[in-house]
Amino acid sequence: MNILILGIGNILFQDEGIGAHFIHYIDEKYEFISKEHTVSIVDGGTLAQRLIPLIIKYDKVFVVDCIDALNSKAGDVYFFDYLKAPAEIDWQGSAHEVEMLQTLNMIKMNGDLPSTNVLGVIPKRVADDTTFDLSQEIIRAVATMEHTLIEALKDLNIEIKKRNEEMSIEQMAQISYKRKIINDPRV
Amino acid sequence: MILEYKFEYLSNNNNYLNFLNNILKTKDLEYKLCKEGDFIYLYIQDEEETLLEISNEIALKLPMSIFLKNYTLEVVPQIPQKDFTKMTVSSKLPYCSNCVAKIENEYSSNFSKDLFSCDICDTICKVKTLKLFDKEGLKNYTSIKDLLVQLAKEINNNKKVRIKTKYLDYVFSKFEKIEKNNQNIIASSIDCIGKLAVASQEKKILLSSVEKPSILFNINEIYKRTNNIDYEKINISLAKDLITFLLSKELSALGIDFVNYSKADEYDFLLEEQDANLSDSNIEISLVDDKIFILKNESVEEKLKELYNSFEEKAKAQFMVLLNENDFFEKNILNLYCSKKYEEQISLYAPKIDGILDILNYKMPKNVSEIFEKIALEDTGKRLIENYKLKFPKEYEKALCSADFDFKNSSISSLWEFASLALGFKNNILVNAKKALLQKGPRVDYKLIASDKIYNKKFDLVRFIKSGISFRLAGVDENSLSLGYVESFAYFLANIVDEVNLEFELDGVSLSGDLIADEFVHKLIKKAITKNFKLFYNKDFPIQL
Repeated sequence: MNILILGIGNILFQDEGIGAHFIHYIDEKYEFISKEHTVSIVDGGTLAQRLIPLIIKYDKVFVVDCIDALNSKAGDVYFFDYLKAPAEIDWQGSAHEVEMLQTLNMIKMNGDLPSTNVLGVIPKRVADDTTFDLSQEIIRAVATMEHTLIEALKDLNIEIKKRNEEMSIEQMAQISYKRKIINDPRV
Repeated sequence: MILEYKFEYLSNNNNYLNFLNNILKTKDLEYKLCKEGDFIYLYIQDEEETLLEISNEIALKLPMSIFLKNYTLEVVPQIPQKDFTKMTVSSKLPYCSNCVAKIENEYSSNFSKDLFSCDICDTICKVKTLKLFDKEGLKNYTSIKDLLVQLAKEINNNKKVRIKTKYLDYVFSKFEKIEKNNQNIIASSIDCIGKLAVASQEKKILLSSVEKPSILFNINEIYKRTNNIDYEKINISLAKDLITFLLSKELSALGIDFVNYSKADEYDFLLEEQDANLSDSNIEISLVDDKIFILKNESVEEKLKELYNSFEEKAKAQFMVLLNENDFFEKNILNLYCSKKYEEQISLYAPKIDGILDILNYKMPKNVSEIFEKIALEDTGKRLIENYKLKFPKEYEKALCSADFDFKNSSISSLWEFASLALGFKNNILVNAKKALLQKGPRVDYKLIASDKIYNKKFDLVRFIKSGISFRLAGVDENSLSLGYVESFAYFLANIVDEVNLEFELDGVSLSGDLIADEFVHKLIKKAITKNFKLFYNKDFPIQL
């Protein structure tokens, strides 16, 4: 099986870039070993529809993005099957989220959508200077996000090895814009 | 037995057909030659032993060409039906490897023939008509060897020598050091090029090819440091005709590795081949990513020049020539014309629309303050500009106080210049980007203003500058952000290709304009445009005239 971990988000809007920062963090920290599967990591940024040809090549996709949800607070983490999204999930939080929803819908309408899980987190919406700094709420949420994704990959029989334990999400957020992904697409 | 030679020859000229025909025409055997698109086919029918001999002879005598990409050889059961109409063509190239072997031999025995000619490349040199003049008038010489030894000495003594033959008309002078970017020099031999340039094996082979091209080389770091220069490129060629080839040998003997050459009015000596009409075949190329770009070609077909000149807009003129050279009038082709000199355009040709559709032209802003004001119209933009003013007060003031922007042309290069001014960069964005040494840069916003139409799209300059300011405020340094600007441009082009392809299924994407010949930019664009699209270029016509 070919597995894609896709990070989405605009890194210029602090927490809204968490999807992109997070997949770089995972890419730096872990090594994925499997004889039967491939694991590719892609920083989708705000590419939206341009990601369609990429997404449809995979059998299993994990989309990491920030989302909005009713009765939620910043830092809450959601993990769900895209086709069975809980009713409280709201994609209207920011332009890039809407674009991503449209992108997944377009793929679905064409009947090309692979099995897709969304790993979503509620951002703290701050209107401050442009900065790569993340809110404390998001920083704390990363441990849950990380655990959730790693367990999901283990369930798919992917062996996980730690590569660089020193890197923190705060450090990664400062450099992800210029970092090349180690687990580039294999498909 | 029948042998099929298949040469991949990326030019519309018939030089290679001519060479092959010249090698074979005196033989008592059956052969057929033709050209189909990018391929030249040669079929030879004979006994196996004869075919082996002929193959060896072809391998020995067929000159290398910059246009020859590949060739295959196989035995076929019969000669297929093709248009084998014989073409009577004659190449206008200055000399080939066969000439060199022959003339070196004759020259060493005090060469004194009246006429030198090559039966492979058709080169002719009327040796007897060579006259030498100094400022007083005609000068005598006893032999060609004597003449060229004398001229080499004069060049060594800092005299300027004009050589005017059937193939060139230049003034040659002693090379002291590199004094400008893209300086034109002739190397006395291949081996000395490494003394001042980064000389890859591929480029050395191209230099020796039958077209005798001038090639842009990167100046090597040792030379730069030793001579305290910061120029990047030098335009090197080998001798451009047989006379300068023999002169190079004499210069080498005096320890002179390079000479300058230029079109100049002032000179101390004139060596002239009498009654020779100049047939300039000068060609300048650059090698980028295994792709040869023609930067200048004096022997380009007249009909292409006429076609080019019949269009006012350079982008369209270039595109029409490209369509013509590739015979693409039945295909859907998107042309990305990226020029540092002329108006830039992204245009679509499709038989369905019976012409060319402008997808995008850039509209240039008046000045920085106009853009800052537009950014500040949005709430987040207002705060962004305030923060920029606070964190980068000098850059902000300088950008605002700058006079109305004097754009060279409507192009991405001009927009980079504008962004550089708005962001207070010290250097040019492309120069910065090349120094960035990063794996990738930040993703700068290259967006089109929303429109239902596929054509006459407008570029969103506000977001282009706004995202740059955002990254600057987030602490991204000048070089990294510059890399982002150039890299994101490549992805922007790729996005446009994808979008146009949704409406008009594209048969390919063509790239033209001098910015495309920039190795750094070309690599990024090639990487960004998905592998689903075949890339096309001009063939014999320069990438920008």
